[in-house]
Amino acid sequence: MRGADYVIRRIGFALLTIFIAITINFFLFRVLPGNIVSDLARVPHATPQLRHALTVEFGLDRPKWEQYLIYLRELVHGNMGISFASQQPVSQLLFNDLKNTIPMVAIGTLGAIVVGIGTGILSAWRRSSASDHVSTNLAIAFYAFPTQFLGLMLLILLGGLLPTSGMENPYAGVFGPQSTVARFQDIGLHLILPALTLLLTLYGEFTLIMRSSMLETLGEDYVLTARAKGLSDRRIIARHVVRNALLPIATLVALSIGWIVGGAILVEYIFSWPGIGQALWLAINQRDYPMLQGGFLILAVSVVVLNLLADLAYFKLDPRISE
Amino acid sequence: MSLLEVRDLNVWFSLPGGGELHAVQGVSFDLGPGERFGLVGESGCGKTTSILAMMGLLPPNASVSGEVRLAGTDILAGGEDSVRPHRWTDLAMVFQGAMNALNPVRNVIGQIAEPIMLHGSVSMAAEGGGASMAAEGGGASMAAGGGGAGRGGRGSAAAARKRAGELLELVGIPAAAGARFPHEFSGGMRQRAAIAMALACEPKVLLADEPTTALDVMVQAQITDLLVRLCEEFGLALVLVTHDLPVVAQVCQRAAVMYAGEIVETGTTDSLFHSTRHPYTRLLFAATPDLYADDDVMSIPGAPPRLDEPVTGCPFLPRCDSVVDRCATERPLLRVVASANGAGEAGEAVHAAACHRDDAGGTP
Amino acid sequence: MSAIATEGGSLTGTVSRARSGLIRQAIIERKAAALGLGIIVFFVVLAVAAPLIAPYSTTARTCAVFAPPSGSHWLGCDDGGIDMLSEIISGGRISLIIGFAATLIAMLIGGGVGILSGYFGRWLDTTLMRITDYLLVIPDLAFAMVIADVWGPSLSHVIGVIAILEWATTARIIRAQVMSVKERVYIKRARSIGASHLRIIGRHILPQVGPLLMANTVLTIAVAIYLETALAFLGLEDPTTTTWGTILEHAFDRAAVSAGAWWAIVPDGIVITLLIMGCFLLGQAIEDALNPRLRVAHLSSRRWALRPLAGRGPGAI
Ligand SMILES: Nc1ncnc2c1ncn2[C@@H]1O[C@H](COP(=O)(O)OP(=O)(O)O)[C@@H](O)[C@H]1O
Ligand code: SF4
Ligand SMILES: [Mg+2]
Repeated sequence: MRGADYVIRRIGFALLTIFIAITINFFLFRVLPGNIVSDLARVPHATPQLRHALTVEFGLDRPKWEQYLIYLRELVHGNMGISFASQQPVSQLLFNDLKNTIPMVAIGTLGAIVVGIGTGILSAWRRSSASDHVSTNLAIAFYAFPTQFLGLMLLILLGGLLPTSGMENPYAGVFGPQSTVARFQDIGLHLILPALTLLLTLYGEFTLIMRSSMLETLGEDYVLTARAKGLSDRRIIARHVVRNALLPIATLVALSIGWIVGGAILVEYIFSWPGIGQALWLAINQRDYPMLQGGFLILAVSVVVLNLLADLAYFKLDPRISE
Repeated sequence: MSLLEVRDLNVWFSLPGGGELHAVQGVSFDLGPGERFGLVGESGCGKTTSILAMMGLLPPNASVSGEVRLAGTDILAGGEDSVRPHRWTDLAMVFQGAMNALNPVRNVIGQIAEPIMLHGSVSMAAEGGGASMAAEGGGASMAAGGGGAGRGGRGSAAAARKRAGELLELVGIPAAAGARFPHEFSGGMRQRAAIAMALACEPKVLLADEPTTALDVMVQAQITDLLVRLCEEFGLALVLVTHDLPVVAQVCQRAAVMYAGEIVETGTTDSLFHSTRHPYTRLLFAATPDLYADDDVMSIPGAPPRLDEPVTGCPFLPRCDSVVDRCATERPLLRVVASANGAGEAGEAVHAAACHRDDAGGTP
Repeated sequence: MSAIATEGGSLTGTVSRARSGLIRQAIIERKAAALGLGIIVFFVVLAVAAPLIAPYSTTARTCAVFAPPSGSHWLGCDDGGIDMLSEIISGGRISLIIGFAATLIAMLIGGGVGILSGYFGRWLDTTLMRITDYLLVIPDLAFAMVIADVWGPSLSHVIGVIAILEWATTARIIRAQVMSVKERVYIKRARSIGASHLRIIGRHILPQVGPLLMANTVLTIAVAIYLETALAFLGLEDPTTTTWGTILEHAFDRAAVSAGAWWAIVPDGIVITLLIMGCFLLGQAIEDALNPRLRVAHLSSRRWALRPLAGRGPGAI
């Protein structure tokens, strides 16, 4: 098969990066000055029993290298410790948060990709026209808008029309059972503002990159060949330009996943969306270090995995990669 | 009537900083059915621009005037819309730089089959309908403007790919190799594939823009031979743009020499080579490099004039070795220097040049 | 020997002079670059002159809570009755210090790593590039949150966090450039006649990567300011300082939105946006000037034009 080597290498690389992330995570929390996880005095409301259980579970009375091995062993078994704040397993809490984050971020990001690619194509096609100027300048403006400012603006402008906080109406189930359809409608309404903020904050960069990538591709000789063959413009764009121009976008998406996560954290904070970004923020404010450590690890691993997927997408799009 | 008549073709490019570049200046020539015509000249003299203009393929910053008459009708008259139906069905092209003429992310056979699916193919119609190829071919070209209804087999992907495979075999590539991507082909194979692609809709005229540049010498010869063989086999007319004068002598019956956007000398290859009239052509022959030198090395001292400023007098003046008085003030026009009935007589022109020196009564 | 070395040196000199000339030309010729530079200069001047310009104190109450814009308080007041305009002017000072300082450190690390990695290659390159790989995929803001929290909120910590996060991209870009530059003939020649690595890097490589580093610096300032405001917004910056980021945080925290006090949010958001945009425009313009793409599109919504000519019609030649 073409480039089985390549795929294996990318997967190996992703695994290595995850391993580095885990290791750095360990050092960040236990070895650097502050020792916040092992410093049990910082555990709020901890009973002596809980302290003892934690000490045993994480081997806090052992040497650092042994703690590291224990940390790895526990991670492999899906154990990220117990949340100081809620006394529940971190992995379970984070799983719930992730479940809330994914739809909102996916909708916002996919929306941004679609809008960005669409406007980028149109801009390049009508290069130097008024619509190109408007679309390019808007893209630069939205690219420069800080996410939190954009979120606050949407709160000011649309806050009266749409729910601005949380994922569901907290009183929905109080006066009687709520149908599934009604519940999804409710969630959908709550999702609009956060997803829209994320979309607007991300799309500008996609527009700019797609536009310059399209212009580059429109100057390629094979586009001239396609024209000479008598193909219609629509067909040339669809079959010979867009796919080639999308290649840099795949790379860009891969590189901006960390960035997307950053945007998502801000958005969840502004709109109190009960996802993993919100959890991270809460963990910091509640000094809930196991949650913080676990949340950061989950985010880092997600980014590495998504990166891998983007790499593989690139591989699928470009037959020249075979190595 | 000639198959293709190019009349007073002019191309201007508007430049980003303002101003205009007059890249092609009144080019005219005829091409009979099955005839092979060479277009030579230094890099930047407007060869590529001329043949792109003939297919309406110029970029948006270009303006064009003149006529390109195909079997008597001016296909440029209606702009892009009137040329498009003739692309690939009547006029096909092999591009300069085999490297990038094929889309790197699509396989080769698909790119050859693409125009067949779109326009149909005469041979496929002939196979399918049992009609004679010649008759169907004539009908097809007439109908092409009306949407190519005369061509059969349109739309069938499998048939188009089968035909594309046959074309690959015809240029010496196994049909199975068509499933590969352009980057997996050598330069020579890519150029063969590009030629196969040009033949896909059985055009009447093939425009080849330096089809052998960037290939090594052995491969150059093979590609040239292939072009000649296919032209003879299919009765194709050929416009061959090249740096390589010996190739013109070998391939073409007639040729034109371009300088600074104009044709400065044209005639039968025989007459052009053996009774050269224009000083530029003469220097060009003298400067023709040996077989193994780089293609672009065709050095004549000095540089051609800028095309974004008007020129008074002869554009070749600063580099010319046989200047006469009129050269500085009056622009020389293309003038018949020999016709079928003898020099200076009325009759079919076999040789014309744009140089004052050869004017009747001029200095020898 | 010295003749050859100076020849190499002067060659680099001309090339780099030509390149910095290119940047100057880019700024003169491109409206976007001039606009970007203008914006940056404007904010720098504002930050430097902040104590002189700011009309009111940023600690003492000078008006009513969430007082709307008026003749005496152009941009109104925040929840503590503090003049917004003064806050924005002084906040810009700290934001710019953070942005510029973090960028400076990031450029020193990134430029250094890029040059070492690209110039020496081998295991050094491999090691350094694995580190950049990690930093490139790591979620910036989450990482910054964790570090800021572990270290504790202070100005220097925020600068440190941002610097650590932002050098990797620059290192990559510089490394690629160095790898191509070091293959050039005059550098190989200088090496073959025994010029020291330090000399080659200082005299030949640095001038070549300089303009690229400059474009990157400008772009990184934008990212640094963006991160600063985000961290501050999440409450991870020293709560006693005023920066463009903490102004938004305050407004959000103290329910400026529900109080209808848009003036506590909008002007601050606009200055952040403007500065980021200015950096983007200038950085992009320098990059474009260094790497011009002048290709003509073969296909566009516009077409070649048909131009009537006197000689049109049968009868020419
Ligand atoms: N799109 C364009 N815009 C501006 N000038 C162009 C463009 N294309 C070609 N030219 C100019 O037109 C002249 C003729 O170019 P070309 O036809 O490519 O020459 P040749 O094929 O003989 O080497 C050259 O001076 C070239 O710089
Ligand atoms: S017209 Fe004069 S200058 Fe021009 S080619 Fe002839 S002799 Fe030379
Ligand atoms: Mg050419």
